[in-house]
Amino acid sequence: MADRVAIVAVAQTKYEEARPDRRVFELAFEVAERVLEQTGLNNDDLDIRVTCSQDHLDGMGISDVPVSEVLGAQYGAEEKIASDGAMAARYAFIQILSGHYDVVLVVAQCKESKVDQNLVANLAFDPIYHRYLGLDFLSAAAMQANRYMHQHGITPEQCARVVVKSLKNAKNNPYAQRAMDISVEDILRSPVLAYPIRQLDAKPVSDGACAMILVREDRAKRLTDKPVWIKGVGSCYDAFYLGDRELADCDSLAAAAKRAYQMAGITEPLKEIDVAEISAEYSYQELLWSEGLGFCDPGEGGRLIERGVTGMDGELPLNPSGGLLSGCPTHVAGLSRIAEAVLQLRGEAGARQVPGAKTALAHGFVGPCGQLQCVMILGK
Amino acid sequence: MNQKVPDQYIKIPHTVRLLYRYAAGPYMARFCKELRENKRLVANRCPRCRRILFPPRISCPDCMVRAADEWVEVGPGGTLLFFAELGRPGIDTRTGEVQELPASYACLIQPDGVLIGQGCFSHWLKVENPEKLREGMRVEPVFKEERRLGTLEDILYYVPVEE
Repeated sequence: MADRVAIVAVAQTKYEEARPDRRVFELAFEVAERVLEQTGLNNDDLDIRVTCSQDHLDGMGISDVPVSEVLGAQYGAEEKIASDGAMAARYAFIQILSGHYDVVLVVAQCKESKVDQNLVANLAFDPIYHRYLGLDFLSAAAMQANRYMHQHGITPEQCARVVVKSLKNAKNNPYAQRAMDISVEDILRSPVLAYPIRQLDAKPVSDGACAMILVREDRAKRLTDKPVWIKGVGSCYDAFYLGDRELADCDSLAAAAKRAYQMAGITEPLKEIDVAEISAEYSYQELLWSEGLGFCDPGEGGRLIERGVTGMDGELPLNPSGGLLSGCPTHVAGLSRIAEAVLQLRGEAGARQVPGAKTALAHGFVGPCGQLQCVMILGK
Repeated sequence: MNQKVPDQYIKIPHTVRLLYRYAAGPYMARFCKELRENKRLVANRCPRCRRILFPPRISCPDCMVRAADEWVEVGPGGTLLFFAELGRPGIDTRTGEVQELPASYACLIQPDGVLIGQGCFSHWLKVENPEKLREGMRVEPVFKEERRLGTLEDILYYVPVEE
């Protein structure tokens, strides 16, 4: 690789159940303003902005138009990624490696409170074959959870442990929306949303935004004394039709991880990665994604959490922030995971800091049952 | 494929009813309140280039800096920049239904205190004497006297001021 790419600043809003006090692009401006302050950069220094949002969630066609206005793209450049925020960061990384740009602002913003999430998710399915079934991301996830749990003998208790860990970790995260001490029994007693997923197994509806600045290596030193380097990135799509996938596995995530590990020179992820921030909208996903990421063998996700490997004191602390289960909107999710990984590597993660973290993994996905997966390896 | 390719659409009616909640935010909220309660149009300002931001908003699009907490009144009267006669019924885009238009002309207005390219807006124009219409003439708003909502619809239409 000719150049290296650094993340030199990150900012997040606190994630909240609803933000009636702000327009969605005002949230975008507020996080962008903070990364400019951190670096001393101004609008003229930005070569391009990459934004991440989704029209149906924003209730606007080509919904980056008002966002580009607040991000200084008037007489400048902006491109939108209608996908997960990790894909937006990946795109900015590629833009810099291409040699076209040196300084890229990446912003993801979303107010899930704006509109019914399940109705919008139904629009993601084929209009003739599938929509009439009432499929949405929740019911699709429930099918995947059933298939995964049946195939590998994963128990509801093991899934509930993910929630216990996440919400406990979230107590140390000032940006978290939901944080508490809670028991496995509490989770198993919460109402069923779509069997086997219960209310507390699912991420809450959330509003918020996240921003970061990516720069080419030769610009990094002047902007921060703690640059975080992107060591590897991989992304991979799975099949569009759920019936074309074995839902008990996550082949696309395994492929995305393999690419990222290859680029970063990682051969033993569990040993070489010090902290991971992954996107799990439902508790079973943290176990399944752990398998896809190679933290354990296929089917071993349940035992991984039981053995405490992914706890704060374990070999690989997973989601010290509390992850999506503690609240973070879709689209912002993957970018927020990268921001959290950056804070860990800069030693700025406060009470959720993993001591001495040198290599971090961040993960995002979009689409039903994790259709498009993106993995990023970051290092000091 | 040996089968005949269909020459008609498959029709599957699918009506999606999505109810959106759009926040006003602090800047638009102030604009709406001033319009509803005082029949005033307000703008804020960029602290760096000093330009007027109308409609008021969080940041300057030229400088990408947060707007100053400095509010000024603009308009509501202004200069007619452009007008066009409306040749067909309007559609209320919130319902998709045909609506009776409040006036037979549309226009572009430069409100007093605003530069061209920095906050001119379009509205209805009620015209008594079309032959006297010309670009550059003065226009004044006619406000709703009751049940104002705090949107630009609280201005029923503009009228030209003949000299």
